[in-house]
Amino acid sequence: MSGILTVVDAHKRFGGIHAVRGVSLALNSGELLGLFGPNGAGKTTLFNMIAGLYPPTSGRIELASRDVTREPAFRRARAGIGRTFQVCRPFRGLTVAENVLAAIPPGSGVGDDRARAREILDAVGLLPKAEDAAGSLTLGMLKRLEVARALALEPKLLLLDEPLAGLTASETSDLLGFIQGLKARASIILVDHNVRQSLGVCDRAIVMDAGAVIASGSPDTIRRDPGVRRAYLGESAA
Amino acid sequence: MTFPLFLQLLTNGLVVGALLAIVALGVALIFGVVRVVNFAHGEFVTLGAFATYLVVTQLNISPLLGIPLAFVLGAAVGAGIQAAIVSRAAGRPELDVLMVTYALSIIGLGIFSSAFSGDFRSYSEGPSGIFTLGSVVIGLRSLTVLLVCLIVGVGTILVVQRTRIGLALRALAQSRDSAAACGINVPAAELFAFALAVGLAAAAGALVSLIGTIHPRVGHDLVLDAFVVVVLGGMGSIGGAVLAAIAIGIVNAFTSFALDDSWARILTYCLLYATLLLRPHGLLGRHVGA
Repeated sequence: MSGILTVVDAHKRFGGIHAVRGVSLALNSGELLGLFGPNGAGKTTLFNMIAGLYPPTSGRIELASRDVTREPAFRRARAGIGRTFQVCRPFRGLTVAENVLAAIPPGSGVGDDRARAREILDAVGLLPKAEDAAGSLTLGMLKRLEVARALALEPKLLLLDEPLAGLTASETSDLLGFIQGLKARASIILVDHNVRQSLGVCDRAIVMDAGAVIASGSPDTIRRDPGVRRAYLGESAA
Repeated sequence: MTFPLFLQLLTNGLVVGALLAIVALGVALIFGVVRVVNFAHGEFVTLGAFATYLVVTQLNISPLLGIPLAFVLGAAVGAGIQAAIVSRAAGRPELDVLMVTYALSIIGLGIFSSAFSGDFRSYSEGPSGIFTLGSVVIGLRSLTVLLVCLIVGVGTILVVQRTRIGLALRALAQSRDSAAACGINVPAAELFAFALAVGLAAAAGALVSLIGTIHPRVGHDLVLDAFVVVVLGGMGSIGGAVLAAIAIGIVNAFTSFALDDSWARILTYCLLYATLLLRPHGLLGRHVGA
């Protein structure tokens, strides 16, 4: 397996707050990595550093062996990093199709790009809503729209930030199945608080606390880790 | 009021409203995409007016050719100012950015006053005569302004609504972070929006020079109304800005005739006040946070 993402000793400080402390990780092609931890653990900050929203205070980030540490977010997106946001940020005033079209790199013509946008919407089950305003979608649909927008970039790496938050049980199950299917198209890092369910689809996971990685390994290793069980899964977790 | 007089005032109002719409389109573009209230916008109108005045009087070029020349000059100046000054203030507190554009306005006003003094100037070259349609009489210059505004306005709206760069601008206006996450080159899109807006302002200045007198404050006075139009239409809403500009132009024409110019201004600001009270997000704007 070839390396898609390498993060080396990444730190992020906001004034006196040390939000991410020396995180290193590597992600292989076609791998689904779970990233867990309580609120304030630094997961979203790490996502934002990988996606280019925040420059790291120190450390190095490589995408497919290319150093992108100092590249702005739009260039990383074009290089193949697709992401969703913890709180959905659709272009509410645009149609659902336009939301996806905005992320498709201008190609052979708007007509072809529109057809591509509709293909992607079909894949995430939003084609019937293509001409609706994005602001009119339900939360579950907005989550899918964000995934669709990320897929429009033809990403090598997908960063999914709490895609299951606020979804019903059936929406959660559907979306997890969909995410698992995405492994064929991109490597994925999945952040979610629904640790038990998310671990079921992950190849590997890391757990963060107070900005640092406190555990990493296979889902079974994470489930058995006493510190993780105590802190995040609860003592009674099976 | 007779029907012919009504039609005449309506036509006069449409000309002023169309001009105001072109200026307001630029203000709305810069506010919507770059998130900057550009106090210097009026000085870009003045730039276009004086540039056209110079090419007409010094180079004997038709004022009609002065319109695209002013647009290109404005776009180049706008791109330079966005790249060298405004983009460097991005991320700073809003008041800092406001002060930057206010300083640009004062500097521009000073340069024009120093270079051209406070004299009122005009030229006689260009279209002349009148066009009569039934009982409505319209000067060919005013008709030219109306037609050019229509072409420029429709062209701008088509660019924003029907092209990929327009889609990028609309996306950027909704969420900067999402736009960047979608691979939209945010600095380039902001540069394009600023250059287009300033180009529109300068083209409006060229049109102002065709139907009125030119002086260092000519754009400054016009842009105050443009700000009112943008708030009335809904901050950042291009359709709202056009609608509000036409409405203000027509209201001004009728009020100036029935009362005087001072009352037209008073009524304009009363309309602004009433709109802010009853519909704070403007005619076509969206609720904050929607």
